[in-house]
Amino acid sequence: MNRLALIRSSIIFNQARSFSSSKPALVFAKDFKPGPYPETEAERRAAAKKYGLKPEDYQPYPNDGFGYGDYPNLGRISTDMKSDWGDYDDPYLKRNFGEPIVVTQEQLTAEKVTLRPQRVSFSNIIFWFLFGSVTYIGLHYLMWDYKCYIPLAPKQYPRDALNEGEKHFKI
Amino acid sequence: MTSFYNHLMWFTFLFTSFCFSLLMSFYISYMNQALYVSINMFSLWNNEMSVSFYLDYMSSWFSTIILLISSVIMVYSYFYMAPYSKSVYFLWLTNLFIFSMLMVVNMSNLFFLMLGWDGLGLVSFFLIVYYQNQSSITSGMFTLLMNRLGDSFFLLTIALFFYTYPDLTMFSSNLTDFLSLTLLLLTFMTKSAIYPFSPWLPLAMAAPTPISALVHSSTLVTAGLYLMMRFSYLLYSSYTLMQLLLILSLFTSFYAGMNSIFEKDLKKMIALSTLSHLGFIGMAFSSGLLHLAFFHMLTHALFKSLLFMTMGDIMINLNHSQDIRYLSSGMLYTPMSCMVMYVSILNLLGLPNLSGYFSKDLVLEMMNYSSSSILVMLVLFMNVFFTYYYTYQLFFYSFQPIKVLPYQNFHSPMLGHTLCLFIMAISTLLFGFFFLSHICSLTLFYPVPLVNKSLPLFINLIMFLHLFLNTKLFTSNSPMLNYYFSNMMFLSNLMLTLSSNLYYNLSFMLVKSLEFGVLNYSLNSYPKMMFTHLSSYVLNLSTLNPMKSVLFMSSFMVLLSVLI
Amino acid sequence: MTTFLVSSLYMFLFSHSSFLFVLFLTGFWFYYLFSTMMYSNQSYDYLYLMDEVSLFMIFMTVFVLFISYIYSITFKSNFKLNLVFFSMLIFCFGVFTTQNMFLLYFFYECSLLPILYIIIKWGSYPERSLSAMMLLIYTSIFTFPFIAVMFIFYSLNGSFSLSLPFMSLMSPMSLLASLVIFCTFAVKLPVYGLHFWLPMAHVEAPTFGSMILAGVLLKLGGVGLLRTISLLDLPALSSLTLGYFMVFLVYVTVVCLFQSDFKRLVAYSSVSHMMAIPLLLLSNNLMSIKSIIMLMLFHGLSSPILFMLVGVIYSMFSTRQLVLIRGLLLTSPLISLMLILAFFFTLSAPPFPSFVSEVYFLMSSMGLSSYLVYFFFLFTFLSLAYNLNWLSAMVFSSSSPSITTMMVSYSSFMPMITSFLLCVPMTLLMYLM
Repeated sequence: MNRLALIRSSIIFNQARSFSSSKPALVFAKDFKPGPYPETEAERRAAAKKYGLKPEDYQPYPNDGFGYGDYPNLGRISTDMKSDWGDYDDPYLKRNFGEPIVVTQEQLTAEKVTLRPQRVSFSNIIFWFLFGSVTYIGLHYLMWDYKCYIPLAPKQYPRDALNEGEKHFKI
Repeated sequence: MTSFYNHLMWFTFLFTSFCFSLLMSFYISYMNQALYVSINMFSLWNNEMSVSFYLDYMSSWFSTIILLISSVIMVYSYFYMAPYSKSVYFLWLTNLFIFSMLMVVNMSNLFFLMLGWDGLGLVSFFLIVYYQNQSSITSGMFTLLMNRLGDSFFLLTIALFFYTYPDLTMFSSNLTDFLSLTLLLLTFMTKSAIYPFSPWLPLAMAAPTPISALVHSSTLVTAGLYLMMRFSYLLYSSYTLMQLLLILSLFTSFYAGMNSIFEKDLKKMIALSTLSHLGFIGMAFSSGLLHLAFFHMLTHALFKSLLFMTMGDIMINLNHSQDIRYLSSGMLYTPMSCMVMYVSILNLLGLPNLSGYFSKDLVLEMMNYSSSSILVMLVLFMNVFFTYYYTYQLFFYSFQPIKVLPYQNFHSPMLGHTLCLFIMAISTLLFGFFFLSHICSLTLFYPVPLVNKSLPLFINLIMFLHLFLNTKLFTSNSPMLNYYFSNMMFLSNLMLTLSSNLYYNLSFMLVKSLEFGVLNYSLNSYPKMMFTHLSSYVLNLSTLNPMKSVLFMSSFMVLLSVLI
Repeated sequence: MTTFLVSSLYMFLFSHSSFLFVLFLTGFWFYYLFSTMMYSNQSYDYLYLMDEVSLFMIFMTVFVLFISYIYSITFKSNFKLNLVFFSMLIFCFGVFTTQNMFLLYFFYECSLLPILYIIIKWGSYPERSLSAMMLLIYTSIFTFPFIAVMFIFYSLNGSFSLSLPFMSLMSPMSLLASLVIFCTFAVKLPVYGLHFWLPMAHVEAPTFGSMILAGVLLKLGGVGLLRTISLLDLPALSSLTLGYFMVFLVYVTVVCLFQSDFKRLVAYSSVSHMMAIPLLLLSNNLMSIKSIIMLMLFHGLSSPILFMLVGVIYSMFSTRQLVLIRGLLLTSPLISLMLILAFFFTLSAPPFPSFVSEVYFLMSSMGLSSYLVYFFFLFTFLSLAYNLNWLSAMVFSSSSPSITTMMVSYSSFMPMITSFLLCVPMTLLMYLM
């Protein structure tokens, strides 16, 4: 009895979370299927409503033959670029119920790519990395011939006493 | 209780093999022998593939050390991995890992060496993703991809070796092909995390601590260096490669030491110290000190695994917090672990007459005579300074009066656990002297000027005085400088960002333009179109008056027969 | 031989039970082994070639058909299934063992019929007609010119026999003819560029159908190439197509990286495995020919297992999207163990014998061009990358409670375990080579 009530309450809670504010745009797999490319403004509005987006946020892929019809271009947003602390319905993809997903979502999961913007821009990273390593390695090659020399006594062989003229060292 | 028996079983197995291996290595090193066992597995067509084991003093002592460390870890992980109820899974993976490392150590045929080599990379992936959270999967994937780079180099090396001279053992000495030598060196550099390939090493910290103790001391990272020493007859033939290796490994050591100054994560700091030691060993190897480099590798394996294990003991009582600033409470509540930790730290410092001293100071002294450039010597002593710095950092933080984090759930380790660590500490203390005086007979003793002899000790003293009289650490206030050096001079940033960008942007562009684009259009939609045209034609024919079509066909047949 | 075939056909057609079919399969296998032993001293039967190509390919065919038959037991229409399997066996046996050019072509084309029937009869989506049509169009367009080559060959030789002692014409044919021969068999391999029917067919076919498709049908092309290798003008062909193969060997692995559908990914991975075969064919030496056989054998063992796992996972999650399948290590450790083993097998990681074939591929084709080193580097690296893609996405990722999984009955584990157990003696065949 107690357990059943718990399950029911959890179901109600989940439903409240997902259906409370408005009816989600994308529920079943067939809802994700893109329609034809929207040409007019009215079509754009309809498409934006279909995917649950604001009309000013909605932007389809360019219709150059490689596009995806009226499916919205959500940009290159990988999972690790979203906030870690949000209360998501799907914590793995960091996605809420009924939210449209990026076309290449399976390539943008957090374990595959880390596209989160860094504290330093990418060009700066490349520059300073190359600067550091090239300077270091180049300096080593430049300085290679300046030896750190500790004077050693000439090597002495037992046979040196026998043949006088032979030398095994140079100074 | 079953997990206890599992651990006990594996410990017994590993410990007996350790005893056997110890006897074997005593025999081999005292008798000055080398055993070469070659079993012809299969004669594949025109060349025979033989599994060949080469047991000389190097491989036997190294496998002894590995077995010692791993049998201690079997006891250690019973305590450490107790909350995670997957003991069979964990132990099998760990022992597969150890087994593949032993194969790398003892085999000499390149083809079968790949068995252990690839096993190390793949099994380490499964161990790193043991906790199955997002960050551990990310770091596991990155580690595996970096190791796979080495595997591809290795495969190419095998192919090129075979192509130039169809003998894949390390004794095939009539080979001077520069490309294959470069590939061989690159292979070993990826595993032992020398300069361009190092960012995976701190990331591999996502593994459980017993695994880190294995990976970072004696197994995964030293496999590359060990094979370098194994293939030294080939690698020493090229001066340019050895020069390159010297510079790169010094660089590795430099930025690892620099990074560990700015690091406040305990495990990561020790990983970086491993990296700097790897650079040190690589440098010693590339300047010709083969046996000393091997000696330092052994002592490093002992004290670094001990350091990791004691660090895990302290960490488990700090709620797995890895912050170095909580270390002071560790000193108060687990004095035994801390004492053992100090033993390994003093070894790492190279305090006179401890085992770290014998190996490290000998390398430093011999470097004076290796006629290397002034800059090399300068950077080398800077690296020594960094080593002292980060080890004294551990001392410094463990003696802080402020207890930041009180103990919440105190786990008292078993007696056997503590005993094992204690025995390990004693063996670490004694190993250096024993090995130098009894085994490593190839070392020559030079008289060294007093300045050179006392330079490391002098640096040591300065650091000690500065820290404990001044009670202050060197820090830099510039956040950009901290960021620069705490990311390996942007090497790790670059690697991660570049791999993501290459993966996503470049290859997606390639795939989209060709596979989904041009080829799809030309080869896929054209036949489709043709098919629809054809079928509509057939449909039209079938809807015609049947009599008409029969007439048409018969006239066509008549025409055909007349023509023929 | 003929009496045996006829009697077994009789026995088979008048008994619709699966048990007898399995009995028949094993009998066939033992008969083949026996006759191989009998004729081991001489290379030729009167009609059948008994060399190592046919030996290993027959072993592989029996293995693949056996495990796919076990998997398809759940389908109720027993008679039609048996018919399909039987015809598949006969046609593949014909291709793998004949030394007659005409019969080779005949069986090669006939083998299309059962797979078309499988796709149309047991496929589950309406797009299956299109994919079947694509399969038909691709194979027919690229294989019909072979008839002309056959005429030329007959008019020059006076016989269709492909075996060397009977061939008066020892020199290879012209470039056009060798291109035609190459394309005929390369479309079934498939070489990249002629491969578009493959992912479509795999996606639409039922699981046992794609097991047969990947396990046996792809090898028909390879065996055809091996049989007709003396007719190909290899130097001219390699100067024409080597660069293409080098580039697209790497490119297929990049394509594999970007698959979201697990079954499609496995299909593309078999394309990437098969791209090694034209390279090995062009570097025509003793080792590369053996390497082709090994590659085909081990791909024939590994890819049906992978397709079977795809089927099992589909029945658990009712989806094949890699984003939606996750946390398998927690929900079903047994399947994830098998996935890991299959991962090692397709990756050609060392404990598995496919590693030997990979290394021999690299070794033997290194002589073609010095630039191959770089392509091989990328190829071996990326082949891990795409395999790791699916493994980490499905097995090691953290599962979330919103994913619903069905329980898999123990009966569906039977074919998997059987296949893994059967793989072990199959891999020991390597020592025979």
